[in-house]
Amino acid sequence: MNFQELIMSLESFWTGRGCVLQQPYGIEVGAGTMNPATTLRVIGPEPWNVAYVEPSRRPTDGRYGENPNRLQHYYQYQVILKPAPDDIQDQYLDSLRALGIDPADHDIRFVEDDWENPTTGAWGLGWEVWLDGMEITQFTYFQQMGGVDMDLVPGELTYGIERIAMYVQKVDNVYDLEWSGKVKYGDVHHRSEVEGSAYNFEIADVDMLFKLFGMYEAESARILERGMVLPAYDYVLKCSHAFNTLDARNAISVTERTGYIGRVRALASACCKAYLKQREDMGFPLMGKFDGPCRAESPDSSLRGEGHGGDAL
Amino acid sequence: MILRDLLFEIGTEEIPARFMTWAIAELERIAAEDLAALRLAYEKLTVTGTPRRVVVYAENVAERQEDFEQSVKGPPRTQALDADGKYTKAALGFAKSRGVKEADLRFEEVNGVEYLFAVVKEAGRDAADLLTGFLAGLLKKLVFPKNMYWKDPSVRFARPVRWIVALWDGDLIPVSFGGIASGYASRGHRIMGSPSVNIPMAKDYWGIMEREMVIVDHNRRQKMITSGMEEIEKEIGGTAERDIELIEENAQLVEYPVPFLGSFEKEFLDIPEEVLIATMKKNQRYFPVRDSSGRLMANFIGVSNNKARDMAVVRSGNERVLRARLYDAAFFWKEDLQKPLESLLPKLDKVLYQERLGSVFAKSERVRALAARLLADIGMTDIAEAVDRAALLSKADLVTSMVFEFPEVQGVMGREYAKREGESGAVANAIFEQYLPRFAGDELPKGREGAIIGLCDRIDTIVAIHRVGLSPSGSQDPYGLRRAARCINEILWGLGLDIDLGALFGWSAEALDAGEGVMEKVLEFYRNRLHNQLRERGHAHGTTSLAVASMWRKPLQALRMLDAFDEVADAEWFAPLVLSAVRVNNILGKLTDAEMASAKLAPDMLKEDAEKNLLSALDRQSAIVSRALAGYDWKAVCLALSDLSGAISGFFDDVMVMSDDMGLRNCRLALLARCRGLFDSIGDFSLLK
Repeated sequence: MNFQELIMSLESFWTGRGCVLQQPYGIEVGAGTMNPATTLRVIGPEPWNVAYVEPSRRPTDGRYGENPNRLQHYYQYQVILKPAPDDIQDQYLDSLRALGIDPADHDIRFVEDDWENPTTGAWGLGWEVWLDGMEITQFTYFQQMGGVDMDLVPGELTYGIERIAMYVQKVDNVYDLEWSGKVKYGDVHHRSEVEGSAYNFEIADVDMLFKLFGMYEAESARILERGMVLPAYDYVLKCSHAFNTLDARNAISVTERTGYIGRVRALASACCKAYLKQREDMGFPLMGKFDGPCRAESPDSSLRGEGHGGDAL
Repeated sequence: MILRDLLFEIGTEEIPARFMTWAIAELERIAAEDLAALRLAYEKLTVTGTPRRVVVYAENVAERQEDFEQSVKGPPRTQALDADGKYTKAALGFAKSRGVKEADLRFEEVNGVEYLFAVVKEAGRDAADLLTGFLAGLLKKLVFPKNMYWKDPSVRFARPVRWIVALWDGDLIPVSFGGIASGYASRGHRIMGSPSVNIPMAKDYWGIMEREMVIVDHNRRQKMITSGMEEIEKEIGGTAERDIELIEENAQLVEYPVPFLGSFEKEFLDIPEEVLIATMKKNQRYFPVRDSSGRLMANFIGVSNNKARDMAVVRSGNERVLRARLYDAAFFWKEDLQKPLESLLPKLDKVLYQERLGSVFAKSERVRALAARLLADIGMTDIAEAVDRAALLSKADLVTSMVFEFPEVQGVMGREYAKREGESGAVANAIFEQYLPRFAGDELPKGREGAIIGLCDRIDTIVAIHRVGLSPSGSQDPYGLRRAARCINEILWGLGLDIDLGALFGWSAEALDAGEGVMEKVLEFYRNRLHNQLRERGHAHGTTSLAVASMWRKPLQALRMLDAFDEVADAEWFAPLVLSAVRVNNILGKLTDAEMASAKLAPDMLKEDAEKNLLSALDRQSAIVSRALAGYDWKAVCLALSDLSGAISGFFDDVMVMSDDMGLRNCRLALLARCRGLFDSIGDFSLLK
């Protein structure tokens, strides 16, 4: 199963379970959780089942294309099932079967891994799912997002699809993954890893990024006041990415860090609260739209760690 | 009496392994307490569980509650009976409130006063009527350290509860939690068992579960892991460390343990073994294996939760993961080796130690200066150069990639990088040994270099943290000052370093600009810790107080003094020595400073034999005491002092100290003052009374 077939299998599986298939968001995010299709949609009483691929950018994880397991840009497959169905774990195992991974042949485990994202004021409890000792999915029951308690507890599943593909294809280097036919993952992404790492670690203009951070922050706050909730959240994402790049440039000291994270969190929380209000004003239009035979709602991966050491793929 | 078995299984999604040992003990406590409160007799209570179930099983439980009789105290007799000897309204009201008849009232005397008592009798109820409440109580009272909700925010558990089995022999006990009602249906092993399995009778539970490939008893799973490990060890001729916590954790990560052997490329053995071990244990929960000579082997033992159709698949999958992780470690190792420790110091200067205390580098520089001053003071100049170098580099490994990835190998990496950069063995080892001992019972530094740096670092920590007002209080000790104090003493005692901590604390205070108020707290804190630690070693309260008061500045001497006391405490001469010292103290303690000042010794004035005798004893023993003191030979000091006992007791028997002749009185007081001077070389003996 090549890389794109793997993605297609997940798309097809979760389509069958009643998920809306979305496409990656158009703004840099550190994880699929940051996509408003998760961050905002999990808030409030409306049901929501969604699945999408998300390119995830973690500037500090770049290794100049030299490390077989670490990337500053990689893909997550994100599923949100809200509310989480009672059989969510079984549905997840079924999705592995759809990828040709039969649990009877492997050691699959749910190992405690709680999730917290200080930049969005979010946390949840769950597991990392191990496939023969390898973490392949983050599985989280959200408890709070943007400081808001969950009305319906969503389950979030975040598949590390490069890892799963490497396992399935028995490949030890991510760049050797077959993407499609003769085209390898390295053909698609190696050069961008080399340049991305160099840019993030060495070239990025620190002064400019600090300025941008301030500008994005101000714009987000300004337009949120005028009721532009979704555009305001877009600027939160831009802030967050500027912060991550500054972090990779080592431009933010330990003491300053907390301050910057707090500023992003304040904005994100304001957007989340405004979003809830907006949906309420709209009369919660998604109510009742996920009823029916496809009751599946699953958890998705957690946005783990602020990047540095963690598990990149 | 008919006896039944009670089964209660709370079926969940995977509960964190780290909670399970706690949860089992906690639930056992609650269940035992509640059963006792319910007066339900049983033969055996078992609480156990797996990641997916918490199980309470009570064997041979009485079908009925025990009957109950209790006397409840009411009004005193004077208020309970009227003039005619009949029950008053108060007495009858009391009886009514307790639901008893007049016949069940009686008088009993309490502390000389007679009171009316109601004898309340309650017939035991059917256990079946009580069990729903009992089980609901267990669910409510088991509050994990970290809980979640999944539907109803008011219903919380470590992870979602998905099924409940509650049986009283074969009868269903109705109980529900978060919308899940109890039933007969349990679930087997997630992969090897059935998705749903009926438990018709409580006693069938264990057998059915075993067929469903669930080993419910956590102790049995642990045994299966260790016996599996033993087989693998035989196969490869190695030994896996019996890390009990890791065994427990593995047992709580699986419902059916299948230990398996894995291996990795021998090249990775070039990486320091601490890193390999951390990777295997922390990241993967594997057991590292050593060969007969203690060297790490290129193998590991893992524990699978599934007896896979082909275990080679599981094994090779795990090997791939470990290989990737070791590849990372090798990458950090190579990368770090390109940056000498000294070149990292500017980066270390950006790592904050504490907001008001500057960077970690600033701290290590303080430690370097303190160590230099100490070595010059005690004349231990032979290691000064190595200590200076090691102190400079002591914390540099904090900013290496490897330590960033594996914080627990700090010190180890400093040592390894220093070695490869051509630093001397003494310097390299000191960088590691400064952290010793890391935990209770850990090894001590072997070299003085590491010991001195570790000592100065901890002194600096204690003073610095007090300086910013973060002294430990109650259970709060975020900077580990108590542990620091403990390590200081262990090092001084273990290496026999006779160092004056008073001076060391003082120099540290200078460097940190800590005022007198702060230092008072620091020293009080330190002396308390020293006292506790000496008491833990089994020394008596009195002698410990004496030793700490006299010798806290030199903890090595405080300890030796106590050891000497232990040796001599039972000697026949010791009690008289204490008595003499106390008698001398008692008299002198009553005098004013002016009286003491006028106490002068004029040997010619002495008349009585007893006082002349004492003077000559003092003259004789002073020199001996001085010599013993110079050698810190506490036993000899005590012996020398005890030689005064006879003379002192003779003096008190025959001589009137407070003579009306002021000259004579002053002379005699002066004699006693000399005695006290000698006793004070040990300390205040009255602390031993």
